[in-house]
Amino acid sequence: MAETVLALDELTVRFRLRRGDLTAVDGVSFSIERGQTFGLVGESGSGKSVTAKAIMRLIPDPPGEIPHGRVLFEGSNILDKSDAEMRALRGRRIAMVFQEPMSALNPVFTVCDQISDALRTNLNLSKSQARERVVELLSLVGIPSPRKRLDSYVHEFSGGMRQRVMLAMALSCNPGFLIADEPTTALDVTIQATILELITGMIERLGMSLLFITHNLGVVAHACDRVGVMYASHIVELGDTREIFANPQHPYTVGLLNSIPRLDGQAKYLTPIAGSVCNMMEPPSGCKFHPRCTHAMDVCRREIPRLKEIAPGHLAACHLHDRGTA
Amino acid sequence: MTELEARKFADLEAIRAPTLGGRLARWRTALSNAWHELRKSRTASIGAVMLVLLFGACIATPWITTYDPIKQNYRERLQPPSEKHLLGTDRMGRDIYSRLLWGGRRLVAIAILAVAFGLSVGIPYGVLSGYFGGKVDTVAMRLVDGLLAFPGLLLYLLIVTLAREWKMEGIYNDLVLIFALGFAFMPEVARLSRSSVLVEKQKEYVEASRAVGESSLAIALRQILPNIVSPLIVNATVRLGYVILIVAALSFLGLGTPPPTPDWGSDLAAARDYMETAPLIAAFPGLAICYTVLAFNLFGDGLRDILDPRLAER
Amino acid sequence: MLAYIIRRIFYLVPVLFVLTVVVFTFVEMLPGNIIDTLVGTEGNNDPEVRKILEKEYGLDQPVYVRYAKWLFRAVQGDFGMSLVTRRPVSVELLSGIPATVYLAVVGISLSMLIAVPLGTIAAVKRNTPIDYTAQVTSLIGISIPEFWFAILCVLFFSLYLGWLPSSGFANPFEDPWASLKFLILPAAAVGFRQAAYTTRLTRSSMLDEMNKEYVDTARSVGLSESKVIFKYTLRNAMIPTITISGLQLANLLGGTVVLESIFAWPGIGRAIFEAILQRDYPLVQAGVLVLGCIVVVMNLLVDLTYRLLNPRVKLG
Repeated sequence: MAETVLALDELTVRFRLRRGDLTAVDGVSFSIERGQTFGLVGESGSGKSVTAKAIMRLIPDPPGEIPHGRVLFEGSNILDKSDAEMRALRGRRIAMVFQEPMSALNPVFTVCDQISDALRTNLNLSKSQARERVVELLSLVGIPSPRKRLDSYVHEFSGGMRQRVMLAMALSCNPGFLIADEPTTALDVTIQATILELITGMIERLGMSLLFITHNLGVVAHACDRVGVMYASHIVELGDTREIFANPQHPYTVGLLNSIPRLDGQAKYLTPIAGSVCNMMEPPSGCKFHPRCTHAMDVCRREIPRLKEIAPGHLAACHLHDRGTA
Repeated sequence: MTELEARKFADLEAIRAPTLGGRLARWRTALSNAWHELRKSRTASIGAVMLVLLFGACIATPWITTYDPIKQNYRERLQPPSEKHLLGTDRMGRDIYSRLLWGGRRLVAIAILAVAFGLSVGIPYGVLSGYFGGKVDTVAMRLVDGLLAFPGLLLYLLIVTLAREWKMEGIYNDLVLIFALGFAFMPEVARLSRSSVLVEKQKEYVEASRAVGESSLAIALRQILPNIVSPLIVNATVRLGYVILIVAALSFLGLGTPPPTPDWGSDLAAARDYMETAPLIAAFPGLAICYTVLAFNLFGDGLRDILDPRLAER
Repeated sequence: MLAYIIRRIFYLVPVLFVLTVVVFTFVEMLPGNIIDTLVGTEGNNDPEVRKILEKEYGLDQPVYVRYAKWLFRAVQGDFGMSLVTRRPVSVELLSGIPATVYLAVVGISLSMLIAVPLGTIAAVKRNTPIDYTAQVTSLIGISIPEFWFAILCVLFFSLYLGWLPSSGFANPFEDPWASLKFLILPAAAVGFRQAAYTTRLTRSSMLDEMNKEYVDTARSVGLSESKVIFKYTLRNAMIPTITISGLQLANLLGGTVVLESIFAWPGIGRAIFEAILQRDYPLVQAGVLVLGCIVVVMNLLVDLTYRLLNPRVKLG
């Protein structure tokens, strides 16, 4: 059995806002093995980005807090670490690629300044060594004539090139684990595939593990080994990508699959999921999905369903499976 | 019945019956809604309470003061606070408490009128300039830039000096002051409303109104105006405090209000000569200015937080 | 860059036009005219003398001709003679500029030194006692009338403690120590108010910047918190702060009238104020014009600095 790199154990993140408490991540558990790519899928506001930030310990406190749960990275709980230990981990062991490279990169520093700052802090490189390494990194992520672009500012790059710079920065200190938070969403459709391939290619080449966050199931099918589907701060379904696509068990997953266009020739009408994501300040009782679910029963309004193993390695949280019908 | 239900009920009542009672109920609802909103920001509520006290004192001045603020009484010069004179007397034996209240009443009235004047000139100016754009806009904005080139007090000094040379007294002097202060506020209002108009102009609802055949001026006034209100309210509130500081500074220099009219600035200037023997005389007008300006600033700050949802969670 | 500067200078023309027209109109709108003042002082009201004087001062010509002539002379630095001292106005003003600039620059620098760290700390430690103290102090700072604050300073430090002179001025190049003693109170009075503004500004722009994603990026590659805040975030937050402080510096040059007269500081502000009291209107006119021009030029410089600090704004 492969070694587990990252395991979330009942991770819960809450924000104390003036209008009341908001539980953004509620009892989320999953694990990622070395060399594996894990896709976390869900609509915006489902809590997937907050999960990523919690792993990096980037939840601002206040207003955010983690009342319970553990984030085990290579066996030790990240949430127990001191700030200094956490800094040693960031960049060198775990790194993150953000959704919007324009706002995720600092506008008033040159690309070289930003990346070499990370290199010099983490790897104790000299100024000129760092500069050489930045050139290497930029060519690694496919930026043409990297030496000429070193002293450019972020706004001087195109969208796709910015995301390449972001990736170069994340990979700069050879982390073993990468979190990519919707890395292609802010890009033009034509560039999305290129960046996606670049990321998965780099992961494979460097033997890294990847937590890939997206709202696009199509992208997951392409890139991920395992998938977790999140809805309203809960994981509702978890399993191998192939299994989930072939045999979805949660009505929400089914809905998601029906709402993406299929390219495999099976002509099918697209059926969007009725209704919209619930208000997280006043979440519905019981199963968070029941107001939109076509199979909703009485029990769905009363009780929150637990994740249950349906097939080996395939879990779903739905009351439909309680009666042994599925 | 919960508070919320009660408010909803009052709303319904108000809609159903446009009688005097209904109207009162509607006012009460509006007030209670406003208070509810204000409670969201501690700064705004403190400012609001301070302002209510201030306005209350200004309105009630004739009834809560007992001395003529101008009448001199040399037998009771420079007295410390006592039962007879709450805050003591000044160098001419006038009751400081009465002078403070009468002076405040006049000062606040001038500030409000000045800001109202600035708004009533600046909003149409900015809205029209922004709405028509092109050459009109360029010329109008260059004009405003020119007015903004006068630093600090200088524009007021020029206008106030003119008033002095033309021997304007009493109400005329006040009117000149109001004109000068409002005129100096105008460029800021014009720029603010212009930029809001430029933003709003891009939005779809303006396009939509034009598509159904509304004339551009009607759109400018009816559709855009309500949308630029909130930044202007915040600005005007803060400006009220600033105007009071300026009037006080002008009077302090001896160019605002000629004595013996009660005025915080000139009273403070007069009290300088007695600073060592009777420091309290200088303290009261200073504190009064501080209180008033602080009230407007707190209220303005709080309003900004409430009206700007981006800052709401801070 | 050069093309941009030239275009900006071109934009200044209408602004300067408005400025000169207002200043010129001011003197035009005074009741009576310069002849009354001149004749009045000599007790001579001979219509013949008036005629000659009117001709000499060009008052028999239409307004726009007089404006053009006045402007033509003003551009060359000739603002006429002071009615009080009978010396050229330009000489009177020139002697006031160093003192005014000295006070304004020291005051602004002092305020930046206090306000930038304070605002940053308040933002980083927001909703803690430090933040509340900074916020309340700066609110009081912008609400207190500067002349009252100045008087209180004089009362406490000069009259009560006797540490500092209550007013006056000494040339810093001739007697630095005495000059410093004279400078402290006025500079504190200028600095306190400015520091209050700048603290609020720094705090709010730091809060804005700290919410941005690049801060998380900097953290996510393992940079230390102090580097994230003081290098990455503050550099961005300083852009509005420096811009506004520059504009305040410009505004301060005309706003020190009150403080200069309280502290008997021999700057332009006091010169203008005394000229108003003595009805020396050519001096008032020229003083306001000069300060207005300084503000216009300062605004241009601030704008250019903003563009230098902020690589996102393209030049040209």
